Amino acid sequence: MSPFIECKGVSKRYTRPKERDVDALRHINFSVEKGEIFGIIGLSGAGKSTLLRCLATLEKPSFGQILFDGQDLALVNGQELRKVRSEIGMIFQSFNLFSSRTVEENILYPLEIAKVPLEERKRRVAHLLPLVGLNEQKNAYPAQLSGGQKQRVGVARALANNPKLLLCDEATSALDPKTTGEILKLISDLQKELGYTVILITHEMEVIKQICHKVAVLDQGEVVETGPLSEVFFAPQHPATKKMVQKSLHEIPPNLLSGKGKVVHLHFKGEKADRPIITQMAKQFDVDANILLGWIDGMQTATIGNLIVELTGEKIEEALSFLRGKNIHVEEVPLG
Amino acid sequence: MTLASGFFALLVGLPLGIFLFITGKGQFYETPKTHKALSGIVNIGRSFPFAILIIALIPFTRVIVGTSLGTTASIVPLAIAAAPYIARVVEASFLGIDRGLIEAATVIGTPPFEIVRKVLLPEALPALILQYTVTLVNLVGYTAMAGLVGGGGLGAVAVQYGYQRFNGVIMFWTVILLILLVQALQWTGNRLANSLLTKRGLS
Repeated sequence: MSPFIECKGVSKRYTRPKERDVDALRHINFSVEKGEIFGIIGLSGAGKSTLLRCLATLEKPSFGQILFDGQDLALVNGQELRKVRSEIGMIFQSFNLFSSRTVEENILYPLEIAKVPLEERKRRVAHLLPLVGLNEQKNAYPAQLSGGQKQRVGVARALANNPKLLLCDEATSALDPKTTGEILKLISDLQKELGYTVILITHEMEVIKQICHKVAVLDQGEVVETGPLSEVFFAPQHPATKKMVQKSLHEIPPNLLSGKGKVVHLHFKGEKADRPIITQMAKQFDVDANILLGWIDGMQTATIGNLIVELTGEKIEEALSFLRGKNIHVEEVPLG
Repeated sequence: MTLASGFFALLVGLPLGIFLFITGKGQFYETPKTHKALSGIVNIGRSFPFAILIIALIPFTRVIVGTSLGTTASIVPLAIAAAPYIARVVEASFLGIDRGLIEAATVIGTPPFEIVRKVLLPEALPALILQYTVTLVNLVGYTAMAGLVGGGGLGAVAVQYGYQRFNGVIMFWTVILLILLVQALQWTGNRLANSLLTKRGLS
């Protein structure tokens, strides 16, 4: 079965007069299956927004194809384009709600555009309002709402036409951590109920961890790594990915480091009990293991344990090989 | 006279302003040549000294109204003088709308004309009202000038009786009336705009 969304060799070049061309996207390749929650992560300037805008039909790629359920988005125009757009919903970092319309009227907007009959419109809005928890606020204006509430309106508005695809453009970047969690949960819960596919872009790892099934890492306009979270988090390959996945050394108080050994970041899949393996290693190779940090990433599709350990001793390399042999991913953490 | 010419000015100026905006940089009908042309026309219109405009338009006025004197006749030059101003003001009000809203409307599938009708106009309405009020107030001043060259209205009264016949009392009272007119216009405009803003939770 062919994927729902496919990007094939997508590139986007901006030409500026009197300035050098900017290649915002280079040869982007990835695919998204129906019903997946697909995250795209990258630092600012990596090209995430450009990619999402191309997916949203706000821009056309300079080269390559974006296939939406088999249709090449670059070739769609006029009425066809309107139909495709009615199958896409989008939420934004700055919400983009119509200040001249109430909550209810904002949600009605896409239904008006799609020329849905009046009775059906009312029904849908009445159904959506409690789903996003805004029944009380239906006659309020956006300026009277909190950030979390505004984004809920955004979600309801995006879902009004029962879209096949929901695009999220840094949708929680302007919200506090607690509200971020609520909105992500809302998107995820509704996804299970309504069955849409999600593509979200963010620069925050926590967002990806909370709801995504698969992730693509964008660095300077290229997809440098992609795959299910359980793999990308467990064994990050590309430096850009590693940077994002690993806790950086300066989060560890310096007085805990002896400065003599090697600091490594260990990834454990599943809920393996790590203690026995570490102590086994310590005994077997006469290595001191000073555990500096430990945490568990419980994500949609996998649980990954993390330990940052300082190892001192003669046989550190053998010890590390031993760990690798136990299906533990080992990554050295550079000091300084 | 003010209101009538204001009405016609809006009739011409509003669509002009809309076109000015949508042909602008980054907007959905971006056409640099058209935008430059429209911009040029608007600029010329705005820089024309009004007194000269009235006189220059006399033949045109005659064609439309049948005469170049009197209240009705002066509506023509007044409307033509105010239209470019309104166009600029409309363009500025639309530029003040967050681009994200237009993008959201686009992704939802709104056709370009509907974006003007359903997004740009309602979102910019308070700003448009305030700006239009300013235009009307300016028009009051212009009507007085029109009075100087044969137009009717309060301006004419002030000039003919007050100035030319040195009747200070009449001049005084016509000025008072003009001031009251301006105040009333400004007050109404502010009230309308503010009530909209309050309703939307924006003030």
